[in-house]
Amino acid sequence: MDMRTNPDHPVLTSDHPSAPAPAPVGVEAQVAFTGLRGDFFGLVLAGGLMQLVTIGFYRFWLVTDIRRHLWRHTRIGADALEYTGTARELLIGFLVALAMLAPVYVLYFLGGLIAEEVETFASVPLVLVLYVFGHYAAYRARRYRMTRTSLRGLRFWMTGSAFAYAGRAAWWDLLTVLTLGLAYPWRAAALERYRMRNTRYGDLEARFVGTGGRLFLRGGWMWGIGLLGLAAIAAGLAVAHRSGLFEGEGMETVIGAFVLAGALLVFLLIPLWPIFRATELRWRLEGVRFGPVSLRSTLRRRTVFGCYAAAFGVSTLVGSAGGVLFGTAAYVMKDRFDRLAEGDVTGQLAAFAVIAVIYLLVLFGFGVVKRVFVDRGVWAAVAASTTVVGVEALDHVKAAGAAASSLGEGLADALDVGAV
Amino acid sequence: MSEPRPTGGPAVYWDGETARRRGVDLQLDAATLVILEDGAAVARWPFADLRRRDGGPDATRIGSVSAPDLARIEVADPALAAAIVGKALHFDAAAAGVRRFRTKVVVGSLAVAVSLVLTTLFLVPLVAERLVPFIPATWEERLGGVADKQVKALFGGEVCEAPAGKAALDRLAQQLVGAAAVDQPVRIAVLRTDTKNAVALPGGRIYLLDGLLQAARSPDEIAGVLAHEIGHVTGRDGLKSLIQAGGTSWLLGLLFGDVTGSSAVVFAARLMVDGSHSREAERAADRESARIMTALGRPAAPMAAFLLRVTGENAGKGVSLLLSHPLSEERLQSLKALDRGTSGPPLLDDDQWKALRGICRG
Repeated sequence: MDMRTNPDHPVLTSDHPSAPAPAPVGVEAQVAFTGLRGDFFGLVLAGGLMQLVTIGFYRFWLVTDIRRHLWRHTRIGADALEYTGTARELLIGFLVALAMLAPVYVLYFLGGLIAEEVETFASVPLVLVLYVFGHYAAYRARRYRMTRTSLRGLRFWMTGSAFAYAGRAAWWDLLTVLTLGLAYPWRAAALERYRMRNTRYGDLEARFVGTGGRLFLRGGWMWGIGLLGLAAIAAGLAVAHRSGLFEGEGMETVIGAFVLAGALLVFLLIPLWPIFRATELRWRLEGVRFGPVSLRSTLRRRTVFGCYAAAFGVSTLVGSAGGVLFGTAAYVMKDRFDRLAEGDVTGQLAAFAVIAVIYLLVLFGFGVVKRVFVDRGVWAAVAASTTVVGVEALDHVKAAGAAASSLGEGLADALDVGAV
Repeated sequence: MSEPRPTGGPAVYWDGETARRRGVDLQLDAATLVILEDGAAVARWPFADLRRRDGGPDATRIGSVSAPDLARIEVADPALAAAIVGKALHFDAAAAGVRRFRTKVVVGSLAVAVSLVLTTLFLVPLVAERLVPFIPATWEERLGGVADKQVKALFGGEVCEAPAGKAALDRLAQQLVGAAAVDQPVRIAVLRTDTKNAVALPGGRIYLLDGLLQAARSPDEIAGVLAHEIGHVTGRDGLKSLIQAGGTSWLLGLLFGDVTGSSAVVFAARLMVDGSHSREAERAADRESARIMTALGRPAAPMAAFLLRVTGENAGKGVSLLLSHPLSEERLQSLKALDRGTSGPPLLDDDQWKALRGICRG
């Protein structure tokens, strides 16, 4: 037990003998990102290829390398963050998670069969159990990442219960679905509050002061537009159906018009996602408090939008390249692809292999683009637009907390709910 | 070296106890790095314990395995950093270890891939084959109950029971089961649906769908189909395919599940593997069908001709690797080879055949 961590004692009442009287305005430290895009690109490209070669097992090393790069190039004032996690830990966490999930999988399978005996297709709701378990894993994964993050020789760490968090998250998800997304800002606030009030830097306790109402005021209009668009399509469909437009002549025209309108709507709504993400990110950052330390963000929506736009543009190029590659393969191996239709098995195997390889290469390209432009791009944009206010308080923070196990990351990986 | 190596210089020190950034001076002794604050030594780190840690691009960050876990020294002066690195023999030991381990991972994961593929192709079917005899009939019966509900939900679920038709169906079933070597009860029923198919479920339930019955032109065609399904019951194929599908999905998911978005490849691969398993089972069921029909003195080929008529010409229209049934032309040929012609009376007379076809019309 670390006796320096005393929850009853207000943190930072400064019993430091030489500490000056608290300044009315906190000292500010600009956050900066010093990484080069070229370095990151090389890392992600090589790592991604290794991941393909090792049928995915390399991901633990890739993820660790990515985090090390992002962390070490993020500095608060003059002090760079440090990521102390290792790929070996992640691998072990994943293997333990597999060992844990194997019996769960079997039980789930048997449970599904028993449920089916009682009521046909009753096993479907059991999927929800795994989904709640995903929230549990996500919380534990965050705890792992936090305890592997150090700044100025102290680590971040987390208290709280992953089960309690999973319960809350599931409850808020339900509300969000029932209210067609209206409850989302309050969900985000409640979950962020739980995560942050269980987060510590040394013996400095964090909290979250952002409110759902504030996020709603900033981003509610996007939700409104999306809902209105969907409602308009639904109303149009209903009217067209009632007035019999879907029968008789001209039916194709009407259906075509609706498909076109739907596509247009989706095309208009997609750009809202990065804009919303920027809004939410800034709201999250501005709500963070570590004791007397706060964050100020000037993150611009158009900066984040630019990251996504670049990713979209380059992805289009990657997709086209894949198309050209496939076309070339089909031309060069013409006889094999022709025999595909005739049902010749050996020809099919070769063609299938070619299709699979091109498919994986294109996916790999998309992955690299996403990591370079979205993951790294948004990370760098957030860093460049954030200022830490009141850093002088950090001088008195004492070490506390221990490194958490990597099982959470392993579970999150196995359940596919992992993050950067 | 033209320039003399520095024996000391300024650095930043975090002691791992508090977050205070301390400006210190380093002094390079013979075996230890001495950390001096205001002229007084605050810590001594042996060179042998020094390790490189992740820092920003413009400084060398140093940790020590004998100091608090997160205590760090950061040296901005490259010459001083080089002098320290020169004395610390294990400075990049972790990095070298990581590289060696990486190579092992690449080799190991390729081995895992090969092993998983071989397991899926050869071991899983073998396990399913050997496991099935140990699964009690009561379990299979319960599984069949589950599948039964799903099939009924999919096809509307109404069992046709016109009395005359039922009598004809029972007569046909009795002859077929009598000629087969089935060790569990077989229950055959007709479901009212336009779909042209027939299914055998675990536990001996066989459903003939009315759509297929209406497409048939002679009792031999339907008898052959039912004999084929009885072949599936004899082989306990429903149970086998359940075990195989579960096994392959688990293994292949394990193998590919993690390369982002590769689920489509997994799906296709699984379809091909499952497909090849079930094509084998179909051929076995066809052989059993031919055996039963021959034992009853009836031709085996009409069933295949019938299926060919129903499904149309298969070849050239689909990708045969993805089909769960062998191509109908191929089946027709192998069944023709097994056909011993007609030596016994018809299984149903004209009235019974008419009654059977009207089982859903009564």
